[in-house]
Amino acid sequence: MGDYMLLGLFDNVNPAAEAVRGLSELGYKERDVTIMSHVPYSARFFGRKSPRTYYLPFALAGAGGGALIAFFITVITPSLYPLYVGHQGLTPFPPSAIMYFEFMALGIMAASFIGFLMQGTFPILVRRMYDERITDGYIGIQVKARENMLERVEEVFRAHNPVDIKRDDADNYRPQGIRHLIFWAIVGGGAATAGIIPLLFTYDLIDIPWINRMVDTPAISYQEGPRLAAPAASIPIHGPTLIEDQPASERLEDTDVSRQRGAQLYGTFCAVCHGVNADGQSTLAAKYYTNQDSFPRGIPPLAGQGLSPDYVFTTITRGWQYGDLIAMPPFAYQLTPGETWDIVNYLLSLGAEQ
Amino acid sequence: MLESKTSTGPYWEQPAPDDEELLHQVEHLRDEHLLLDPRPPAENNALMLATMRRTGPFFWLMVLGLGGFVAALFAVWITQMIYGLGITGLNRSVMWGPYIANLVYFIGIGHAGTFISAALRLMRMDFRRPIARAAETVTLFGLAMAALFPLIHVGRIWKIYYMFPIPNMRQLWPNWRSPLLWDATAITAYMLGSTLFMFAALIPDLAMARDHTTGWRHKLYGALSFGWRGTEAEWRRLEKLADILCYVIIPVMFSVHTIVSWDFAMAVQPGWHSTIFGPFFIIGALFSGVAAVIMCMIIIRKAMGLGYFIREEHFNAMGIFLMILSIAWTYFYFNEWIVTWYGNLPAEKAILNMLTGDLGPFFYLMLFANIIVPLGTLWSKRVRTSLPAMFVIAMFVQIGMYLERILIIPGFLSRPELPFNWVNYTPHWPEITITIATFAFLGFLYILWSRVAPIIPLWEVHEGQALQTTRRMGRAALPTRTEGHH
Amino acid sequence: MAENEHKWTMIVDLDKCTGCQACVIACHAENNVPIASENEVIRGRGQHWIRIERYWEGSFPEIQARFIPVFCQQCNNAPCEPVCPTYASYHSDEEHLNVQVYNRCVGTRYCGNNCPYKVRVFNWYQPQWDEPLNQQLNPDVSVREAGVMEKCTFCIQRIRRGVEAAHLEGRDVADGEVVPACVQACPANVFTFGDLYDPESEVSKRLPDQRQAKLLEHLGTEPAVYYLKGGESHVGE
Repeated sequence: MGDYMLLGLFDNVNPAAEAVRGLSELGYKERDVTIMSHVPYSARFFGRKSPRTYYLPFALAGAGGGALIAFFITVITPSLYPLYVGHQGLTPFPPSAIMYFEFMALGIMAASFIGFLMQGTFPILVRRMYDERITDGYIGIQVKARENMLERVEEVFRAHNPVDIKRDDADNYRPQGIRHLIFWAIVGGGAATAGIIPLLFTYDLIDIPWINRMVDTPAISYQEGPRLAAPAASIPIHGPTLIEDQPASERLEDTDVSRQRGAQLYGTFCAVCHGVNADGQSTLAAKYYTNQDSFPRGIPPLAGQGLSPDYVFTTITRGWQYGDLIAMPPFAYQLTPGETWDIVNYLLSLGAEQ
Repeated sequence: MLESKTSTGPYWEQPAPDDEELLHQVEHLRDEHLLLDPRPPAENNALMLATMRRTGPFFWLMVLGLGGFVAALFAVWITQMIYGLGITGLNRSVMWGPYIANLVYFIGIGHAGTFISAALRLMRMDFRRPIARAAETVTLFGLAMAALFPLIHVGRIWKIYYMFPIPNMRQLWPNWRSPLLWDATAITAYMLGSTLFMFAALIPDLAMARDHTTGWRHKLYGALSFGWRGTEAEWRRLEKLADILCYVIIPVMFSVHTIVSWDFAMAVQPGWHSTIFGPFFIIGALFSGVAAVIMCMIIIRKAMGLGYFIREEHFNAMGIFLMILSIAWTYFYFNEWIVTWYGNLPAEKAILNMLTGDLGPFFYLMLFANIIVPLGTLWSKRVRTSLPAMFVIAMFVQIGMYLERILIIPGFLSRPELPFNWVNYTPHWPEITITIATFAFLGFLYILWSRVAPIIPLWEVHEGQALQTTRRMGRAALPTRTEGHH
Repeated sequence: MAENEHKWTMIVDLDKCTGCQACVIACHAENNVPIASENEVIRGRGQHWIRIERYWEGSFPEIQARFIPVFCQQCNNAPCEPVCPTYASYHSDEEHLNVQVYNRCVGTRYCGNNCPYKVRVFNWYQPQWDEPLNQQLNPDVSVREAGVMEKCTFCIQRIRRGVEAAHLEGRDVADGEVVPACVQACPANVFTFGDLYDPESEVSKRLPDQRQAKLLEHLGTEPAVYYLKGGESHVGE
């Protein structure tokens, strides 16, 4: 029962065209008959209308998409982070024209190719009637015929000297269903993954540490080697502590200027661990968050703790140690006593406010 | 059709004319013109596939030798990454050297392929048919080589993603007002367009290869040909797509080399800051590109035994094309030269003095290779149809055009405004090795590709053969051409 | 003009320059500029942020040397800025300087090509200092790695420090408070440095000057460096 697929193979345009006419006399419409050839023969050769194509929407979508990308690059990105160069505006016209041209051209080309694939419902994941001799110059005519028409179609083929006639059950050539969607989903997923990979690098999720040699600058900066941290008691201090926990230098007057200097110095030396607001909340502090029992946080808050000025001064100068777990480096080298007092004044002002 | 009795067989079995004299004429035409000399497609397919499968010891020797150069290229590049660009000959005044000249040169090579293919296709010039894909392949691999050079050139290749417009942690997008970004965009567009264009035209031939191969090749071609059956609708869509891509890709092609020239013309460097650089570079690109295609045609014809497809008529047509381009190049160069010379600005005068002085040998060799050699020989059809002569001429054009880029980039740069900074640039071993190795890289990719993809667009040749025939007028047989599509 | 804006400007009195190169040394020390070997210099890779260009006038024996200290001109219309694809070279609004961000640089060297003064220097190699010279490196200035472009900054680290210190005290920076290393080192007082927006500064008072000229003025780059040169004066006599 049911339908059959028939393929007649001809070696020349003329009999093939006659066979096509014979089929249309049998009542087959143009869309029921498929002609296959090894070169693009005009549809007129077979007395048929040229098949329609639908490239315009794809090309327009591509051009529009390209224009959007160009708009993003020429208008949005400079306004996200405005930087002025060479006395030019943020979006000068001449370079914009180049961007629009290139991206629209790119969009049209890419979208047209996608249009080519989609109109052809590529990829073809099912069997289809075909004969490998077609690429050797033969012309194949494919018809889907009901069982009762089978003989008459074959008669038409035979009347025009076919090279071969193939016949098969149409059930073997069912249209593509869900497999088609699965394929496009895989393609889309693959494309999305490929798009994400560069982001892993640009967001440093994949870090290549050895490659940035600028990090290892040979300039000896604050808190860098080769001066190694010495044991606390051995640190030579400008104006040494004569009595334990008691600074030898006079505390600077607690003025606004001193506090502001202290705030600046705090930002340079302390904030990286103790947090910008001196509350122990910093990126670095989170990394020291190790032992719940021994300590509530990795790094203690400073603001509002009611610490004595002398204690703060000597701690900054000599550093601080908790077992062998956490250590604050001594700042005797980096800060003069005056600068240390500035920080003390700033920190105590935080406490005073609360 | 008037001669309906002749049309009973397929187009490759047209009966010969009864007249002895006409038969002689027809045979002569068949000898001369590929499209009048049809053979059964099965025969052509078998020939093409046989050349693709042929891998003798010479082939493997070539792969090994060229592959050695490719390895050398990457070895030198890695050395340069580790030690810094100091190992090259570049200096404070000549910040751009042969790497950028190579970029320009290889993009130039890449121009002819698409031009031959796209422009001649739109103009329905039949001589493009057998050579279109060989030319497009030159484009594709030329562009690939060109794309390598900005990467080799930059100081910190590991930070190259700073130049890509992708979201990043630094929240900083690239500066699209930089000509380098226009350049990257244009080359990307051109490369993608060329690839799609080439791939679209390749699908029917891949289907052919699928039909006549077995094993892994069958699977590969089956996947790549997207289940092509050659139905009317498929052909129609393919031709439409090719036309759209042609129309878009031609302006993109012009834009690419214009923008490459703007990399120089936008700079205030004397000799570079010139409005004529855009068209001048385009002509130069086509000039060297057509010469490269001619060389490729000769090589694949010899090496792969494709004498049936690539005939003297094609070299003749390409020779005329090359001669026209030589005239155009001469015009632009003279134009550029006389404006500079007459303007007589001190900074530019220094450059002219350098060209005729220190760099004189290179300068005069360039003029000889680009003007005297092509214009002095290509007017003769005997030269144009002689393969060895064409190879030598094309080689001269390559040398001349390469020298032109070298003179413009490290040459002009060595004479900046303040004379205190005048230097003389000599290339060192990294530049020389990488440049030579890149040519080998191009050849390496090309010969591998020629074993994977049909290098002759068979369907285009067959289409031409199906549509062309001879017609009798009086006592003469004439080629006639029918237009299959309107 | 915004409140915190300064137009840092340099005046170079060529009539005073003796070509002693003290400024070059001071600049190397202040800015951690790598030192190129003799071989490198012969290959045209002298790596100085400031250099003394020497030109000869006349022919022997009536020959005279002219010295021009050339360093980044901090152009207002800087040709090097727009060509950078990564914004490594851009214009700072506060200082009106042409700034180079080393970390953004990928080393296309386009800025170096487009600089008509050729004052941008490229790190051809990884910079190295023999022990213990590395201990004298200025911690305020980062050391640049191979493949990065650099140039004179008008000692922006000194400018920033001076301006910030003044702001803490609630005042604007005073004239003469900020001094780049070359200005500080010059024994002949060739350089005058200051804020052109400050009407009381010395540069404002000295400009315009009859002897004033800018380097390659015809290119329209609007440098922030003014050269003073008298027609009659001679150097090297």
